[in-house]
Amino acid sequence: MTLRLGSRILANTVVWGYALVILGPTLWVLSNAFKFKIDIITGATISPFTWINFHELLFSRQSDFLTNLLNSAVIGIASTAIVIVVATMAAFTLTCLNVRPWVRWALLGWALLFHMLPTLTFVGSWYLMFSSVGLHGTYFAVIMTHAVHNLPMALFLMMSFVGALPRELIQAARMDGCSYGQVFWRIAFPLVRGGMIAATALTFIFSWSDFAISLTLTSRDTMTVPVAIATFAQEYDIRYGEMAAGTLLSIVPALLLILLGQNFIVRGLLAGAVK
Amino acid sequence: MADVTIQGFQKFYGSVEVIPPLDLEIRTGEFVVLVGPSGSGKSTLLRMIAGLEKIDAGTVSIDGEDITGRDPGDRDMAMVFQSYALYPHMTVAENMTFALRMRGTGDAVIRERLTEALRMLSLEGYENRKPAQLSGGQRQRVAMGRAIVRQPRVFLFDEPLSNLDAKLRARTRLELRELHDRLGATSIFVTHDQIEAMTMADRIVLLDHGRIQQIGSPREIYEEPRNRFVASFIGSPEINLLEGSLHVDGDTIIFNGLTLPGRKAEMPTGGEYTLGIRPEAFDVSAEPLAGTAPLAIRAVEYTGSDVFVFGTIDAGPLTVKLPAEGHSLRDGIGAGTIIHVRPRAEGWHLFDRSGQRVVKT
Repeated sequence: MTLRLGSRILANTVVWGYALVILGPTLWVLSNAFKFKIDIITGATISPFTWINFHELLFSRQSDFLTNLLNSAVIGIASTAIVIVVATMAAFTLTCLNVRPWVRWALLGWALLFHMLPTLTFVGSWYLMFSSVGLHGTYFAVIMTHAVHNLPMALFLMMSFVGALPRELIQAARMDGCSYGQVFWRIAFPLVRGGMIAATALTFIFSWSDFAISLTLTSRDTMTVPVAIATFAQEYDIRYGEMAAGTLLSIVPALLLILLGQNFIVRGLLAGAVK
Repeated sequence: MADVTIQGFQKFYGSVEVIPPLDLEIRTGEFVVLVGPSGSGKSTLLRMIAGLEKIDAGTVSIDGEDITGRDPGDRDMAMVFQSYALYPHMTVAENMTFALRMRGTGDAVIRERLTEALRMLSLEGYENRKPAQLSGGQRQRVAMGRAIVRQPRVFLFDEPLSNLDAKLRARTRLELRELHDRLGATSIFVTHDQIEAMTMADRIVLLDHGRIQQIGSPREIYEEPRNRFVASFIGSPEINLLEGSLHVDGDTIIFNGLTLPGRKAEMPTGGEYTLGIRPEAFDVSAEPLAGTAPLAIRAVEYTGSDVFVFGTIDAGPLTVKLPAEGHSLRDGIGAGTIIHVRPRAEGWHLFDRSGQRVVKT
């Protein structure tokens, strides 16, 4: 009994401690969004409430935050759409069609290796490539790079969903007169929608919060939110309040997607674990 | 009309030959059962016919028309899968009419065929349910319905009864056979269950390691097994197989000390053989009679309609089925008691060392 009580206290301490480590700094940053600059710098815990940081962020002439939000949304939505379509079709092809095993393993191995290497390894090359063809600073450059960067993760996730489709279901559809394209659209697609929602949520969040690629490949016109937030830290002035307000606003879409997709994400990661 | 002709079918997995060159002729309206142990290639053969498995050599044709290179959907064959493979996101009606919709059949025809199939399979009232809302037996019937509405030339069944419980399986077996007789289409049915094979087939094709061991009616397969494998695969309990030496002296045939009645025309004069006797092919008595051997009983199994006795004679271990109800021996026997048995004149087979039968019953 004592042991059980002891282990419960220990488990609770670990969980709450972990939550505190994550939530503490987040709450501190978020509370700064509603403080005057002087209160932030002096570290006042209780301070007067203000919307000034949001006002500055959204409506001041020095800030392009609404444009940055729009850029993040355009890049996030477009790259996610590409990733999900390609990953789902690739997963279907690799699992359901007669692809030679070495082709399958070469592709997946490359995807895994690519995903394991740090992003910073590639950004220099991408910068040079896009600059040399005059595409640096365009939506196209960032969208394609985000798509390439997030594809392996989405592919592995979709492989587990598509792989969980019973083989006989696909054969039954073939017997019923479906071409492989029709099998994909009429049978596989409706049945892996849950997986697609999970992959969409994760891919969009990764694209939305990316810093390294966006910093290197965007210009002032195409700058995304994380890069914009970083620009608030200037040489002589760090605009803590606007940074906090920007962070708060940028968390909202990611949070909504996580709430929407979390059931599917867990299911995706566990697909095939039990019958 | 739907004669299915298979010529020189061959299949390799890597360098392993799973189906050696195989020929098979299935006639219109016939119910053919492919039966064999796991790994015998029966499901592979069915999938090759369906076009779901690549054919490495050979051809398959329906009524002389070569369909080897055709897509599975263009062969005019319908298949019922072991797992039923119902589309989980579609209703019963959508599942059953999917193939017709895929080939652009008119709404009126679809509705008519659906109504007919639902009635035939007692599925009326379930058409708007999803597969998850059905019992195992109902799902099985929907899978059947999906095949029936297509009115195909050939039905393919891949162990469709193996997920049902024993009682339902026996009932569905009969329903399936009646359905086949009513529809008159050619059916190819794969099973590992010899009871299914024996009860449903017009002809049984018994396979082992991709090779046809014997083709014949259930009666031929049971009563005239061509080799040791066929004899031991069909029949439950299994046929008694005794290894030993044969001595023939005039009209007397002795196998390991056991006298075999009924001189056969092509009888060898002696040598090493395997003797096969079905459990029901014995005369049994409480007292020793001419030609009987004493059977020391090890165990008795009572199944209600039958009594099986397991024991040993000098020639080896034996399983004997006691004769019909009312036989005096059915009471008072048990482990440790002795009865006397004698093979019936028409009830034994002799197989040579390679397993081929040398003496016909």
